[in-house]
Amino acid sequence: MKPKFRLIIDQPNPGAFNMGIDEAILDQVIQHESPPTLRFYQWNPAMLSIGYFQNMAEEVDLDACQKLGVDCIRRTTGGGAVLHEHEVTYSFIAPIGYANIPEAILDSYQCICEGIVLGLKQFGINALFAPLNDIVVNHQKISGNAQTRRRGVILQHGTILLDVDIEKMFSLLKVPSEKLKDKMIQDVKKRVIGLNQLLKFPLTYSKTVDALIFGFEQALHGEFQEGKVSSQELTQAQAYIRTKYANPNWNNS
Amino acid sequence: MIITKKINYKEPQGKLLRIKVTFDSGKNRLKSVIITGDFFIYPEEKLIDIEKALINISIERQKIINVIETFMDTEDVQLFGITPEGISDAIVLSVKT
Repeated sequence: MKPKFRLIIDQPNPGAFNMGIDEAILDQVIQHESPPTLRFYQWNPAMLSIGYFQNMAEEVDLDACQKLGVDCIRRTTGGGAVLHEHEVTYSFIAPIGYANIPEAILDSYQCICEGIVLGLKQFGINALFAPLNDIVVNHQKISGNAQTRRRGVILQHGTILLDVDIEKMFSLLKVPSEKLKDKMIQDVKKRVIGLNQLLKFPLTYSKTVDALIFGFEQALHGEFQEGKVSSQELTQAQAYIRTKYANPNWNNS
Repeated sequence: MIITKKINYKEPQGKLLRIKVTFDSGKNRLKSVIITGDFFIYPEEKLIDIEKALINISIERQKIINVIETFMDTEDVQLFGITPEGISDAIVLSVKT
């Protein structure tokens, strides 16, 4: 029998809500209250997220973010700073071992990222998993991914870039020196690419999501059935928004 | 003398470590270590305990590696994108520079 997953296709939401929901689903999967889940979402307003182990003041120009109306949040997952704007974001929550998800960290990243790799194949794009936690097309990063593990359950979320705005990203980040800024922007431009740069027609959210669902079905030999966020998950998410993602004590610590 | 140093350090194929080290230069011992960066540690909340385990440890590459490795074994902690060797190298380098 194929392993079953709940599929949630969300609309654009504020960053604190998106992060709160991801962590709430993780909790409910740990407690066997929710099934393993694949969720897709976007952001409104744009959000700059930093990794669990990064320091907001060290990485982010908070005044610039405020001026441009960009939210700033610290994730519950490690990794680097990301400007979430023109992208499709996913979160994948499942126990280690479910659908043969490997225990080893790198292997589990590769296993879950394979869903994205196979999804992008639908558009004729030849993407590859690039250790430690990226997906690349012709050596250019198109997807970044971050994982946490709690009590045997994995939460992996990540981005599939549609368009990139490196200038905007750098205007929000603290750079070691203004002198080097232009060079850094040029370097990153060569190393990052959005789906829409690779295709003749811009992709819609729903077309991208459809392709990714197909990719995850193939990668995990699973069955994905559309469902909703549960009322427990919503309640739990509200608590996380209050205590963490909309709370300066969490975001700025 | 108590001295504080900050360093950015990147292991080959690894993530960026930003380390703030306060040490006693006379005794050659660590007073505090604060590690930030774009790496991964599971469980995440254990980083603070790794930092605590390094307090009063003498600043020697192998000694620091041993402390981190012992902590990882006993506490079942996994690092991803950084290594005990990388953390130790960054600390030793920051003290020297």
